[in-house]
Amino acid sequence: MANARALDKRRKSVRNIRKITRTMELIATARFKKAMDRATAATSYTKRITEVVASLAKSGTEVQHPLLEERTATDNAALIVLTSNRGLCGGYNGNIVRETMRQFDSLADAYQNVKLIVSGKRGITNLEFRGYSADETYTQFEDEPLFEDIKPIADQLLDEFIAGRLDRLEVVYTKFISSSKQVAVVETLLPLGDVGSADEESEEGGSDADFEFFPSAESILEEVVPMSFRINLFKCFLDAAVSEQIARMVAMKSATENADDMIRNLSMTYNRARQSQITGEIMEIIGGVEALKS
Amino acid sequence: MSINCIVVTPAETAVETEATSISLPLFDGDKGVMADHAPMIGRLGSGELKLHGSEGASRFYIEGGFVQVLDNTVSILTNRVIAAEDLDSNTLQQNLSDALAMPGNNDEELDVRERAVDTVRAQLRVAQS
Repeated sequence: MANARALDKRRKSVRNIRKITRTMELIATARFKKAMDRATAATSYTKRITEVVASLAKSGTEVQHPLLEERTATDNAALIVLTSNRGLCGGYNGNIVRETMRQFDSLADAYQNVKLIVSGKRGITNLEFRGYSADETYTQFEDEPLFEDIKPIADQLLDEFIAGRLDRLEVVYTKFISSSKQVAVVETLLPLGDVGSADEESEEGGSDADFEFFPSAESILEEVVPMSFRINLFKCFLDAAVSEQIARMVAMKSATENADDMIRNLSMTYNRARQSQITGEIMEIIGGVEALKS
Repeated sequence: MSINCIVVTPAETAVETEATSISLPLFDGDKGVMADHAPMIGRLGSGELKLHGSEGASRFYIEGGFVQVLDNTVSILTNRVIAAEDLDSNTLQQNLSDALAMPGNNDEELDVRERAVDTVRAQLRVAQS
């Protein structure tokens, strides 16, 4: 039978780990709430910019912009990968890395140069281990990405795209669908397929009013399109942040539950071991008494 | 008659308030909006946003973006909002000299410098007015 003392020691260490995972779960829950609030706050800008585009489209403006056009050139592509800086979040980074490898390979088939931009330490090391070294890395984005920090990155990519040094930009990130469902997805950011004007007919925001444009509809369009690219990229970062916290929350919750199970099993074995130890000792004493009697 | 004014940045809805009249920095100069303004979409520059309400005026610095006026609702989409009282002229003077000292050896750097200087100057104007 196992040594009761060793079992007790093991049980204690499992208890300590449980305390840690439980705390991490609580922290992740708090962070998730905060990240979620930020993501919801950001949607009001997206909604309004869609309204502006819908109004532009209604006014009869031809929605045309270099950023919207599909390129025939297949020279340069870039892939942005959004992962986390910290681990212990279940399959969150693994899913992204798997998706990245698949997408990178298919891009590499179609384009001559594919630039890999990775955000998050986990993704950087994980991809490097698999033989995909990143051309550009960012590790400064934690659970609260700021628009001011993302804007320069977006602007740089825009400049490259307009100058023709980039023909396609895709992003791999964990999309937040609901609090119980997040999936690793690939999205094309450049060229922008459409600026949320696909369902303009049913758009309640695009009212029938005749808008006056200052200075002109074209000039506004010129500004709206890059802005909606920046906001799209920003939304990806926000989504990734929210999904990361959910993933961590779920992973830590199951770790805590697993620790509970282990403690229960260990307690049972420990009690049995203790009992059999006592029984053994009693048997020895009785044996000794019997021996003395005879 | 009052106008509903909403200022949103990519990160959040910064201001949501009622005002009797609004003065906006369009890309080429200031524009005033009062109740029952015709529907309008305009491009914003960097400068001062003034909201005149029943209890005095509130002033903000806003940086670029768009404005949409419709049915007595003014939606302002901008990159950044700073309340005028949060702008400090001394720090801004320092920022201005920092911006002026940025390198300008090629077109790109000159461009960056010009933009930085313009931004700080616009903030200074709001702080000092």
